[in-house]
Amino acid sequence: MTDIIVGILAFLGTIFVFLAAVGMVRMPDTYLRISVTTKAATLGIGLLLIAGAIYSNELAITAKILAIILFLLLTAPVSAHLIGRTSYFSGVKLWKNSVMDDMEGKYDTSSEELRSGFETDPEKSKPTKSSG
Amino acid sequence: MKNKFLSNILLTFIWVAITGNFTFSNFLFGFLLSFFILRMVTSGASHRAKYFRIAPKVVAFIFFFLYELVKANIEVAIEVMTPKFRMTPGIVKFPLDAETDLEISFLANLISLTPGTLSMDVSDDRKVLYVHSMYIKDRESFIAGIKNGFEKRLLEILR
Amino acid sequence: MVDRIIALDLIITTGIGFISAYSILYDQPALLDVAMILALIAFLGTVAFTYYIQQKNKQ
Repeated sequence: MTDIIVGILAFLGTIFVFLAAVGMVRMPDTYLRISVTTKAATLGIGLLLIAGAIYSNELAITAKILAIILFLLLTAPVSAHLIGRTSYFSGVKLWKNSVMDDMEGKYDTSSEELRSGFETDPEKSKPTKSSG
Repeated sequence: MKNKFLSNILLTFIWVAITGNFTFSNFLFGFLLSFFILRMVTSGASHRAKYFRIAPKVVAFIFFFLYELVKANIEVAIEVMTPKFRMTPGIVKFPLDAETDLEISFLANLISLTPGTLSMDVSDDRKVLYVHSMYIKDRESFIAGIKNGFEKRLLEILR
Repeated sequence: MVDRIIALDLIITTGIGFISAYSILYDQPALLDVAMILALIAFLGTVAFTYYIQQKNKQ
């Protein structure tokens, strides 16, 4: 019984990692690649590690695996955020079919300041807040 | 709050030591048991203590996050597998209700962790978070989705 | 340039997956220590490379 569960979980995890690799090749721009790749770090590797935890039914190994998943969940968004930020500021273009780019023109290259667009009219931010 | 949590942990260890069964499920069972005992024992005004309101919400938040994670994963997986691109990506300006460093960093990390959305940067005056997303129907519904989902639940726990 | 950094990140994450699959297959849970260290260290490479690109942009 446990063998079947371990097999299913490891299979699903491998499928998700594989799809992340395929998406890495197929996606048309850098930001979409980052979005697709974080999936490998979270769900795919998480499922593989949980399969390992179920296979070796011990407290020490389960605790170790939970620690690994925690570290992954802590570090994956940090690196994704850093890559996305750096690539935007070094001038990587968005995909041509992108719908909107609110960040355009908000970054001041000389003073390295990112503006929010709310500075001049602080009352304007109120209705958007209450509508949510 | 901190007091209650520490006494909860202490009672859990006592339970595990008495039963002498060092397994993960026994830890979990001991924790739940001591949680309910502490809840029954504390009476009066401290009955509505913050710890007992927050603890179920943390568990509910973890399950909500896992549900969102799986849902977004399947969306992105279908997008990768099918030959045509149906996505409508873009960068959206998300006005923040979260104020302190802890709240903003938690929110940004959670947004980055769900596939398809990626938090790019926080503006220098900390009013706005720029989010890159793969599926944007229109600006208002996307912002409302994050505000009523992640941000509302997160602020309920952290405040 | 940025795409290569993303690919490096993906390779390391896939490496963690390889190690966990290997430890299931050959029943050697000691290998999971390696996976833990990789999970802790992996993002440092990304941080270093992005810092390098930022410094390059400034000039």
